[in-house]
Amino acid sequence: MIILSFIAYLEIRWRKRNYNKIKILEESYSNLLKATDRKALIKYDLNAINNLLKESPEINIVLYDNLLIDLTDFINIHPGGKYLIKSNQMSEIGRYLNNGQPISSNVKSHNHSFDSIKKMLDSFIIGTFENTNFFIYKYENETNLEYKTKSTEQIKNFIFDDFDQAESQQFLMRKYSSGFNILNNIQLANFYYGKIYFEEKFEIADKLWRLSFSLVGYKFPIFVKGFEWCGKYVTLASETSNISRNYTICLFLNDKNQELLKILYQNFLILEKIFEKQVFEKSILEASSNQNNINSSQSREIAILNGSFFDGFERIELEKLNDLSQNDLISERILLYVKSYEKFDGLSKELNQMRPNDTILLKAPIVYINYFIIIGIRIKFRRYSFWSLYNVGQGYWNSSLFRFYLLYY
Amino acid sequence: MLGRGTGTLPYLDFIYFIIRYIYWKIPKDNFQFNQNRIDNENFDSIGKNFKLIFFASYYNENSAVLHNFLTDADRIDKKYKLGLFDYYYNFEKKVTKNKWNSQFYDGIITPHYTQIKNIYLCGTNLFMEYSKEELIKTSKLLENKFIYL
Repeated sequence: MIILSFIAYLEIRWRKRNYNKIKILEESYSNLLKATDRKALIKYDLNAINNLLKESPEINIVLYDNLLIDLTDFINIHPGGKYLIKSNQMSEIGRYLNNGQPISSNVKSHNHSFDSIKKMLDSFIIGTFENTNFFIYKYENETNLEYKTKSTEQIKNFIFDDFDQAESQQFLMRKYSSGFNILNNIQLANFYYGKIYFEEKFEIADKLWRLSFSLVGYKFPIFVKGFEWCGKYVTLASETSNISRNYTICLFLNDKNQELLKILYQNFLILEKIFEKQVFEKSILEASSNQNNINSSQSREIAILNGSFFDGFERIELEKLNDLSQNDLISERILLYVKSYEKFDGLSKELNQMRPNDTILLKAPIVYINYFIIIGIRIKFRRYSFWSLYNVGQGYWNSSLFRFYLLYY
Repeated sequence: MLGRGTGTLPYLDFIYFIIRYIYWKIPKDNFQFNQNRIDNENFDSIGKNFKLIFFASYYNENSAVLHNFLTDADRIDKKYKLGLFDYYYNFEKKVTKNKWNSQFYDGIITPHYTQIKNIYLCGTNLFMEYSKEELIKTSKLLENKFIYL
């Protein structure tokens, strides 16, 4: 009984600590409203917003985390003046609120008291912004416009704006309700929402750092068609301070994709050269009525051509392309791009000072890989047996969700 | 699409898609034995008259991410007259209207006024303000087509 009581005590302590952690994590994110509340809001696309602005041109609308905020009633009392709000009509303002960039080179950034802003902005929310404008237009003809929407089958399930932890949990439960899937269930359809480990950083351009993060058991998409992701962000939040910021999703900028592009270009140059050579040879042959009539200077030209045409070019690298196409949908790392400003501020400072294995909170799309490794501990006390079961595998069903006990005799 | 500095990053995934499309679209008669991976890709979602014009302003050449790839794509597009992608850029420490002014925009986008569906803006506020101001000067038709990333 003493042992059982001790285990119960540990369990309660553990759950309490985890609960607090999740609470801190949720508070750290800068979402103004809970995702569940968002569903009740009116959804606006760009056309609807333009109509709204046409009807009432005096209104001032800004965007925050894909929420539409009408600041018309606030503009006169904004301590920073009207200009800042007016000049950000229909702009995403998260970068200014979350200790981000200055509004211009003349106006310095101001550290807003985020908690009070949150409460204040809450009352001005008028709807959510449905970013449905990332489609590619398909013109059948000038008068009959048709356009194709952004979704592809794989990406359809990404719900950027309505992320809800509980909902995603239900989604996964539905997905896996038919039984336990033991190994490598890959699900490209959800968000990661939690702690992630910093790995390394690399300067990809002047003062622009590529930071890589990873978490055992989770994989991230790295290759997509492209436009589905345009203008989307991931959210990073500090564990220590109440700061969060949106960072651009730029999946393309990983080494693999750049290598692919490089090879494509190189192949293209070689193919171009081959084509030029063929055209040149053909023109010489056409100039002469038959091949035997090629004069000595022409044959010398062809010989030189054959010998030196490809100098400086490697052969076409189809094999490398095929190698690159293997497993190129997913990566174990998520890459983020952070500008290192001369004057460090806010989260950028924290990110730039991170060392391997430091952690930060992340909200980002992921590829789930679930696998279960169940271990059990049996404690026997007289005729009572007590089993404690844990999942030490990785993925959504980690030990915090899969942990239960059996008591029997 | 208009971007300044790191404001060009949000577009890169999309532009990557278009660059692959450019490689896919190169007249196949010239390169019958080209078997790149992209040959199997499906670009059905792209309409016949699709065109992307990318205006990028960078602090300096070192901070221009993927500048080489973009210029290559632009060159290929022009060479084979694909009409899919234009790339205009400049390097300046502070955004000015020296390059990004209405005359400059006018010369480029005049043939496309009726077909421009959206103008995406991302970057410093000064850049976005100037660009919007100058673009609207070229035509009021563009007024409601701005999307800020």
